[in-house]
Amino acid sequence: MAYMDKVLRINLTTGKSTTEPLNKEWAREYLGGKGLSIKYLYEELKPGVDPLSANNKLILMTGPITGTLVPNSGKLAIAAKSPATGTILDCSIGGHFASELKFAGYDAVIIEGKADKPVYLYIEDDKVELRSAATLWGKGAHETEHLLYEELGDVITLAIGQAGENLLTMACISSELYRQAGRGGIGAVMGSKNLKAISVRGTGGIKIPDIRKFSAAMNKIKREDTMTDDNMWAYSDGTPMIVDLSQSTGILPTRNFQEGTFDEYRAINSDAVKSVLKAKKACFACPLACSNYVKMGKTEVEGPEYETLALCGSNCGIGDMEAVIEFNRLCDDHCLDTISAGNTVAFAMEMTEKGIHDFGIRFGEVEKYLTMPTLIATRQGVGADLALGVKKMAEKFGGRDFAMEIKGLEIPGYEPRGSWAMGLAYGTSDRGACHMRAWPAAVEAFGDIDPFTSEGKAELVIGMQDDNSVKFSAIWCDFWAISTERMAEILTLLLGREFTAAELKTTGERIYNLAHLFNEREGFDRKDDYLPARIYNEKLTTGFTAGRSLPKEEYEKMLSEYYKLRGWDENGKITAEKKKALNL
Amino acid sequence: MKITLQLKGPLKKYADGTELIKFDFDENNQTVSELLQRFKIPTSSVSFVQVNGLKKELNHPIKGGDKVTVNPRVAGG
Repeated sequence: MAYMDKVLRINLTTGKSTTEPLNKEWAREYLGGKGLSIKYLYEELKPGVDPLSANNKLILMTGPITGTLVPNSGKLAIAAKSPATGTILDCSIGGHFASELKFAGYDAVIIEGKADKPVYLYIEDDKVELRSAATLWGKGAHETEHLLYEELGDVITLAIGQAGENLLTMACISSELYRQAGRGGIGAVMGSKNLKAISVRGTGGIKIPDIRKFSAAMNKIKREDTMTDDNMWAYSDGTPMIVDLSQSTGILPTRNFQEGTFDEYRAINSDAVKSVLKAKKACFACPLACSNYVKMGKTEVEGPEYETLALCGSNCGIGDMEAVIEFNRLCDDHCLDTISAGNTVAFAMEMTEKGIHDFGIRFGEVEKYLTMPTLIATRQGVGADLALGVKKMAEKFGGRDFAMEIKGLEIPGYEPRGSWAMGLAYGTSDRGACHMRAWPAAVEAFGDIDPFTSEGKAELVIGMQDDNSVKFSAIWCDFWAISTERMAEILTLLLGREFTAAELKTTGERIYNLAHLFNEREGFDRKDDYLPARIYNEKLTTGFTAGRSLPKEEYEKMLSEYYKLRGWDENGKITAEKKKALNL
Repeated sequence: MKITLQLKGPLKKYADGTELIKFDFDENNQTVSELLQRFKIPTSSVSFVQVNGLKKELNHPIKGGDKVTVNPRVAGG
């Protein structure tokens, strides 16, 4: 029930597709989405596999709640070994692909091998075909989606742009034009397999034990627990609301994290977005509709989200909404992750201003800034250097002390010097610097917990990482502040067996530990859980965080406590006892 | 004394959908917390409050001319 009990496996080298039952034992322990895709990858990938080789696998994974009336259940997990970090990588993407895949009859698609020529995958229920993508290769994701829509009719598509084709480690996968599986170079994994797009149409349904009871319960939960004060910020403003919050608490990354406030923040805040808002949009089964569709001047985009406003706005010294919208649109079309692209451009700007290497662009230079997405995605001119991403640029040209990355993944839009637990969350994230494994900024910078102490932060971060591991495995959207108790209640109704909050907390812990075990097998340990030197050594000088750094000894203290509470050794390795307790 | 109250996002509903309200606030030594009570805004719905743009505690006293911004809780990121 609720699972389709069917996995589609495609071998691009042979062109063959097969189906197999979902591994129910694994589904019981890892649910779906993040957890289950990591389990398949852990079992099926050989250690040390080159992420851009035919031996890496790309997994599209739904969850038990996908395609049902459960609120905020529109997400799909896409996982592989990351070309950016060499860690495990699971991304989530909203829209309607996940539900459509389930309606076509599948819990998951596992893509192996490499096609000898560009292809796209077409799935219509039981019909599965690999078709030539010769006419699509070289095109942006937007044109690709339009052409496939014209050819195939009413389908939902995942596509890559030029960045994925050119194997950039900041390449994302796009769907419905403006939604992305953004991080860690997941788009390059598709590109490395010569897979331009995946289009799906499903005409089936999902079995629910007692549909009347389930439907009534979901409507009640939606009214009483989803469309509430805690969540309706997503509808009223969406993520742009966070610009003002970050500005006032001094954690808005500005000019490559040189400051935590931006004088021109009003040009890129939620009011500025709302002034050009044309429509609200939502994913499947979402009553919150967080997306803002905006038009300004000659450009339009669904967005910009907070991360884009922060990393491509203030962090590049760009206080110009129209420019940020256009930069966002170009990144989406070429399939560049805006967090990594914004960081990379900002790093190039600081390198140029400091005279370390001349990339020909400085903070706030709008015209040059707008040429960057195309140059980077196509590796042309200076874009060939920026396409390396921050870590490799620093290795090649210098600037290591202000290279804002962890494990090769560029840092999201929350300054750790004003939210110390955020630093720990970045350092211990399973895919490099990520704000989605845990987002303690919400309760530190934006809440009651002292952001400038290391006390109690390990426990805080672990709790969030484990809860989110369940959330992203079921799969719920991040924007519903759902409790573990509520998750257990819904899964019980849906799957016809009793779930408890305590059981789900263990499930979350198991999932996070499995992701860590994958990374451990790849050689990662404490030395990789670092923060950029700027965070340790440079004090911010403006706003609420003036005079603040996150001293290395305080960070190391949090990290040691984190390992201890996790049941890992001092070097960050999972102990035998912990493995046994979690059945790893 | 005049103060300005700004209710962000979904919190506008506590002032009939108005985001920015200017009104007389005569009580002496009133705190942010008491201001929230006056508008029946549950503190559980508030992430943090700014007074004149700066993050302040709920027991912060309000004075004439202040602008008090009340931010909703946010999830995700």
